[in-house]
Amino acid sequence: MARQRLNVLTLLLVVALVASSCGGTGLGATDTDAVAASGDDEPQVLGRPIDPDEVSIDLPSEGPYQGSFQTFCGYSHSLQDDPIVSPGVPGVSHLHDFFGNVGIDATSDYETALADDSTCAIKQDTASYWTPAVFLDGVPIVPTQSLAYYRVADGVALEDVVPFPADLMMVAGNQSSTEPQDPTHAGWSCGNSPNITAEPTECAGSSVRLRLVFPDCWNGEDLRSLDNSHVARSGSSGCPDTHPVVMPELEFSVMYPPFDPRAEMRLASGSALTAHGDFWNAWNQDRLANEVARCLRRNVYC
Amino acid sequence: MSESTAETSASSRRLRASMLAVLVSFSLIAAACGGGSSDADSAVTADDETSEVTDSETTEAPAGTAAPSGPATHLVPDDFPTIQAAVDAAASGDLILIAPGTYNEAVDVETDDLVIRGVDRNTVILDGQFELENGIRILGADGVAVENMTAMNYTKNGFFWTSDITGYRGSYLTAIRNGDYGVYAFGARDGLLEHSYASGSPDAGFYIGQCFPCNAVIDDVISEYNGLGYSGTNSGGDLYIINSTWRFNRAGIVPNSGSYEGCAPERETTIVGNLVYGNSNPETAAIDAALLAMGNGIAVIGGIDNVVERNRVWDHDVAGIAVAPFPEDNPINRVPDEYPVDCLENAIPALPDDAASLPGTLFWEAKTNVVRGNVITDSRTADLIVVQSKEHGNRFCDNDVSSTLPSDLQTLAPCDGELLDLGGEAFVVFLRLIEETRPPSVDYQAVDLPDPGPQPTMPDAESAEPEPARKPAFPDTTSITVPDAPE
Repeated sequence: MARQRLNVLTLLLVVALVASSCGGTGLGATDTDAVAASGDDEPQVLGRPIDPDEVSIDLPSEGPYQGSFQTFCGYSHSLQDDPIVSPGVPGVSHLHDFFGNVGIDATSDYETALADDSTCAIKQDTASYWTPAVFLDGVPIVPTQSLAYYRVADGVALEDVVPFPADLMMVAGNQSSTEPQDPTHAGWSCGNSPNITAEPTECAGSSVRLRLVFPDCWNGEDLRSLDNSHVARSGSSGCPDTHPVVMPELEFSVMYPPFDPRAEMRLASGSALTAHGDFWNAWNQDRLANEVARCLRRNVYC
Repeated sequence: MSESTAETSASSRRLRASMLAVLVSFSLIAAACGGGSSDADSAVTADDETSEVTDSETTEAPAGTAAPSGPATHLVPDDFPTIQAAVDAAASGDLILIAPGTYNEAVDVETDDLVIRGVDRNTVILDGQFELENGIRILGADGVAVENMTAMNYTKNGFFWTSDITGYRGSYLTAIRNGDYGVYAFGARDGLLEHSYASGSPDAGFYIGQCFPCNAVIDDVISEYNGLGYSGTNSGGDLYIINSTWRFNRAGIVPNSGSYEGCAPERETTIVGNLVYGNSNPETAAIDAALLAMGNGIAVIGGIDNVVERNRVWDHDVAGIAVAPFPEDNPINRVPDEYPVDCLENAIPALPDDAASLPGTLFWEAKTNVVRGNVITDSRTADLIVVQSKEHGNRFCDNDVSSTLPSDLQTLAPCDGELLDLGGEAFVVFLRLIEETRPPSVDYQAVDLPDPGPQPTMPDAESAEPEPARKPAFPDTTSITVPDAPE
């Protein structure tokens, strides 16, 4: 019992420290590096430094990497709220389906979010993920569940990957698109299939999956922006100079029950071409750092 | 029946089967996903470690350094308050010795050759309280042995080795009511799982997947009240499942293939001398693969060159032993032209360049398996069922059975001699079975489980020298006879 209470207190302390260091203008790149690299002071939090005498891991210098961690997150709730676009103003957005954190609405703040329950298999993933509701013949359909899959993009170095800064918000996909989007950023597939297309295809009765890959480079300054310009995507030579902080690459997928191919399908944001989704890093930051250190930076399939 | 014919026949079932297959593969992928140490535990550990080491009355090396004189022993909680703290402080080859007690921890292991041992299997209990994901998670560390303890109530796995591991061992382990697997080895080779017990997981009690050759042995385990007693996706090659009991699961022993993980297809698993019974249990938690395979004692699903010999199998709603294809919907790749001969990696197999031309359903055919000398009784559909054609080369002989599907199977597909046409009878039954509604999964947190009682504990646990895990001795299966049924 004493141990449990001490743990909780310590956890709160860590959370408070992380939160306070990330408020206001945001967590700079230097700070982030320090958090990830502080091996001696907090080895358990971030994984041990790799000692070649004790571990047998050969780390590749370039991708594709197999390191990953992942969690299923059940559907939580739907609201016409958008904590990124319209913070503090409920009911003014198109209808969103929320996954992960069960308490998110337009008025949520980071501290309250950390205390909420989660629909994810990793209970300490209290982040929020949201996507536009899907309508069939005008009726919203309830997603089956979602999968948050965290990995490292091919072009970056493993040792450069640090956790998403606490309280970061970002978007994948373009909710105003009238043209097919790059399906490697926002697209649709049948179940697991790697055949990802800008619009859903006939899935022969199997589940339909919305697939979103979020940017993995951060400008080191801003936790959010209306035009998503605080984040960018890495390329074959890593992150751009304007966005030097390397983050995990998050692929977030939402599974829907099989569509009747005869039904008219649209998103709350418009046609299927407007596929997009949002991520708010309200993970237990300490736990997120643990998984980044032990799984991603070590190229371990967790 | 050719592959294309099979696809046509199955197409009418696509609506349902594709859903199932997607869910199956999805669940399997989910199950491969792990968790980590509780942050609270980790955080408190960092503070406690220093003081505990200072206070320690033992003489072993301080945290993080190897004692020059040989492996050190780290006592929990005397030297370190948590298992995680001891693991993080230990050097390769050290022994972590855990006193009786309940530990609400999720332990991550990254150091090679650790031996993590409970003093008493039945009273050293790791309890995830349905909040933590894995009891002990070994992350790419070679040679780690976990001995003589219980892990229960984790949202994922009791004991989990993953990611390019050479050398693993689980001895005298009990895993109860964990949300994916009881004892789980993924992308690992040179393994031994022995004298262990697993119940109450919706996926498999014991699992070895994504390895070739696996060089692994499962010996003297009991797996009951799980979705699957044993499952192994894309594993095989000197992989032995022997002298164990698989009972009261949805399905018993189920080697299988799939494109969603590396090292496909499953092949060369040897299953000998097991007791397999009552695997039609509708009152377990179950992933969709377990629902699909329900009612079968041993089911080789899309596997190749497996040997199933001298098992005693009884009391199954479908088949004592079944050999059948796996129709995988929305595959992420094709059946490889050449099977990998040295494989642990590719947790995410490379995607084909022409993803758009992948088939909607990929058929993993069960081929050239040998089923010999088993004693099978009381199967409600048939003691032996093969859902493949003669071209697939599966062979059956010396089995003591009262019914087969197709009938006269052991004459049509003998171990020696010409293979004859097997007809379409079994396919009809197979498709009917796929269509059947199964009793739904029961919430793993709420399912009624038997009390296994005190399990045999490791001899001399407090004094035995630590033995890091190495490639196990392979059993001489020719000396294993059909085991007697329990009284």
